[in-house]
Amino acid sequence: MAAHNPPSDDDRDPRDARLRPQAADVANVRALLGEIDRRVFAAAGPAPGETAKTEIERAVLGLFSHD
Amino acid sequence: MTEVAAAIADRRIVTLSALSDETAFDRYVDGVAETIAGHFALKMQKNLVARRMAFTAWMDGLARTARPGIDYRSFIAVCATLIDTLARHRSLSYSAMIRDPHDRMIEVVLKYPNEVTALAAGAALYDIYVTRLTGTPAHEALSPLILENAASSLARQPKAAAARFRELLRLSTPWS
Repeated sequence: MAAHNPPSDDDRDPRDARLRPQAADVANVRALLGEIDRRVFAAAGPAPGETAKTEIERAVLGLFSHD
Repeated sequence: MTEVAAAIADRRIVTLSALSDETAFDRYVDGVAETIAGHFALKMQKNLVARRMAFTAWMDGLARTARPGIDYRSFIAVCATLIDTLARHRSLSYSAMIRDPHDRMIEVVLKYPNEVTALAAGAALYDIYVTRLTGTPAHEALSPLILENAASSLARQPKAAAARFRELLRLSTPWS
């Protein structure tokens, strides 16, 4: 009897509802991440003028700017 | 509403809680991948199904995170989970437009595209928050050897290597 292999990422349909996370999980995670934002980093906002793009670029390029 | 609060509200800046939204998650990972691609003159290809599965795995992993108390360790676990899930689901690849045969860093990125992107995504999230907290970046520039060691460790043992991301990438910590 042939072994059953789960489909690889390439074989699935992106519209497959089973690929979506459970709504309860999303709510749970949103609460967790919000709590970390509030409790650990309450006073830590980005520097004036920073955007998501500039913060991501600075952080990523800092890792790769080795000569 | 302050300027920062307004920016958070419309997601112009990175926040952890926004990353529970699939579109924001995608935008963040794309931002990391596009920065890598731009820096090394690479072309990025994306697998939408694998990206969706990475998001679902990210939600699933975090939903099962034990949380006896919320502190900096919870944040570090979030970064590690991001690295683990992005490394497991091969949502992108890079191809070289112009290739310098002597550039070992490009070799590592092309050999381990998902692992390098996963490490960069987790490390960048960590660095962004530590920089906001302390005013000083947490990262140092990585040599190709250190990056390759981290990426190959992640390819072999995603969960174990992701948990050691600060050590593997030599990130500093403000927490003792």
